[in-house]
Amino acid sequence: MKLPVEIVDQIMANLVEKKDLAAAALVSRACHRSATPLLYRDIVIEDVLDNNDTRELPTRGVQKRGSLPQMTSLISTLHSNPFICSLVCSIEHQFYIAVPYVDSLQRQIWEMALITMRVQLQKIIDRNGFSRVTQLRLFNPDVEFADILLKGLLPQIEVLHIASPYVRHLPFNGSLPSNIKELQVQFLSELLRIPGPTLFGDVWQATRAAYNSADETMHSHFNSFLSASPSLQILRISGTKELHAILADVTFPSLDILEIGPVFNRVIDLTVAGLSSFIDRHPGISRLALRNLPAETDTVLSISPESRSGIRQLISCVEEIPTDYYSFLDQFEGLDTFKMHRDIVVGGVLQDELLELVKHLQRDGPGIKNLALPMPSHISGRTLTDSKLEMARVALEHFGQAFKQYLPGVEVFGISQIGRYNDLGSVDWSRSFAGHPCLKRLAIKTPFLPNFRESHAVRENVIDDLARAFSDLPALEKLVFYESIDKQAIELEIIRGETTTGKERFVDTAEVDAEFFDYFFQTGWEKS
Amino acid sequence: MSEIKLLSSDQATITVEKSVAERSILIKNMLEDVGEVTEAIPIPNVNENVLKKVIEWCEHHKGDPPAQADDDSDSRKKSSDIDEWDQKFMQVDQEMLFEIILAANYLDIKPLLDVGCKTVANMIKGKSPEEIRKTFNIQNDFTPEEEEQIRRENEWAEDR
Repeated sequence: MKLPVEIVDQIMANLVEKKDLAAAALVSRACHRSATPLLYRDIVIEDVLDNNDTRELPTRGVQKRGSLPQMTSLISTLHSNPFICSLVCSIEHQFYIAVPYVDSLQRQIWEMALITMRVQLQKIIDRNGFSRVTQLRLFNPDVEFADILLKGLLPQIEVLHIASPYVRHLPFNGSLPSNIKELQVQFLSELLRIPGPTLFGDVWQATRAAYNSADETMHSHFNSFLSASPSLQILRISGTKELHAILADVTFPSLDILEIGPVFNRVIDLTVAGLSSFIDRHPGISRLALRNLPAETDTVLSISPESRSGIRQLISCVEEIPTDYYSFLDQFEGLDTFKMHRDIVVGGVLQDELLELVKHLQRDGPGIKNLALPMPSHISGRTLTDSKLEMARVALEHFGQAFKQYLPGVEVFGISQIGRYNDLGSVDWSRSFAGHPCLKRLAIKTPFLPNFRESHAVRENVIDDLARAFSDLPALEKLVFYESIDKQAIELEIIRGETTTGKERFVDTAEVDAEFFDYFFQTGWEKS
Repeated sequence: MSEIKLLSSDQATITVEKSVAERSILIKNMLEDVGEVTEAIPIPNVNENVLKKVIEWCEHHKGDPPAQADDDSDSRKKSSDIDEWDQKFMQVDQEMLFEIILAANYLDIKPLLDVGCKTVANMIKGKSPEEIRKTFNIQNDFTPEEEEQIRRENEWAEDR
């Protein structure tokens, strides 16, 4: 290629797949110079084998997994070539072998390989080989790998994600200085990893006792570790029963985002009082994401005036709406984003609750611009008879009226619902929302879209009709239909003119999720 | 609507709407610095054919919102994400494709440079090193030993 280096660099930057970068690196010296830094910038050291190993069964939507030979070869390259090693900026490691499914010979092979790799990794650390690494992500790591990487790299790490049952075995005790800005910790349950069929037998009981008694130590260690991390801006924690102990007396002057994910018993054990005192200590928080909070207790969560206007984004996952939820919501005066997700399929949000919720989201000033809500179950009922369909229609209309009345400033709105879009026609949706002055982008997420698999020719007229139906929303630019079962989405662009037409295109569901919904909606942050 | 003239490297004068020409940050800055110009602005690195092609792109995209501030984290997003019109626009011989990229770089038209680079990247995807060399007529300048070492070092990435 007769192109200047910076252009070759830019071309290579568009290659996402490692195999394409590896091929490019073998083309010529010039290509090698551009491709190699990209190939090694973000490395993934992983092997995963469990009873439903995805390498055997190509399942749709499942990513390719690493394997032991790849892992060995990558570490060996990093070990033997210091230059390549110096290109690494982020390391992700995942090593999960479900023991019961591995025979003893295989196990020996794994163990031998692991021993070699650990030695090589330690040597790299000892020669300060990973000097540019600032991001470390450990998902179910080999504990010794995690230990080597953390001890060696903690002072330079800015982003740390860890999901492990072995958090307590790791050097999280405040003895190392930490400059971590983003911390995501999932305390995974160790109990899930006990081999054999005796899940509730003696072994299990004994392990549980040992685990519980070690909890206290782990939490006090972890608390010290947090205290030694003054630069923290983003904190995400899930999977621990002891949040109140961990977060009791830590303060992070720069904290901007607090997210508390699911725990064992699903309801967060951080007491309401504990949470409000934590929020009071951190008036800088602008985004708060909580799962199942506040639970109905005698204490109502009260937030100090400083924090009330500071929190702009509230992300809330619920199973059902507790009665004190509305007064909880009222306290967030400065919200511009509210996204709610319903965790369970059965039951859930009722129509009246939804209408009440909309009322309580009304704000003085600019108010809420980004909104995501679950639709009540009887709007989205699975197979509606004609009479019930009418009920659903009326319910949707009422919702539409409330939406216009109380939330006229919303520009981006994502609706998730359980039933079939088909049950309510597009006309019902468009009629209910007609006249909303600001809505620019609307996404309807539903498990199954009946016309999705029709050919383009069949859909073409439908698309124009849809665009026309929704043109009664003066600001609406785009409409997204998102089929969650098969993870596909089409975006419909409304082209206004003498005759309004529509233009459809397939869009990446990850982008739809990011724009309309929220990553926090997923059960956990662990790599799936 | 004011117009300006551009003078290509092969001395052809092309008249173009000012707002279209200002998709090029180089020209925009130049016009801001010198104010009104009546003479043709020389574009010494770009010939007439290529300049016309670039102007065609600028005309089609004149209504686009101004480019977002550089966001490196997004720069590795899927390169398949090319607008339909742009895809057709880029269906030219390789010589022209590279000329367009070089012109976009020189004239500082970032969105056009992006589309050009994505187009080339798409031509690389899924190919073996030998196929890439053939496609772009690149000489293999590695010694056999070097080639073998690189192949071995990057072996882990072959199937990912």
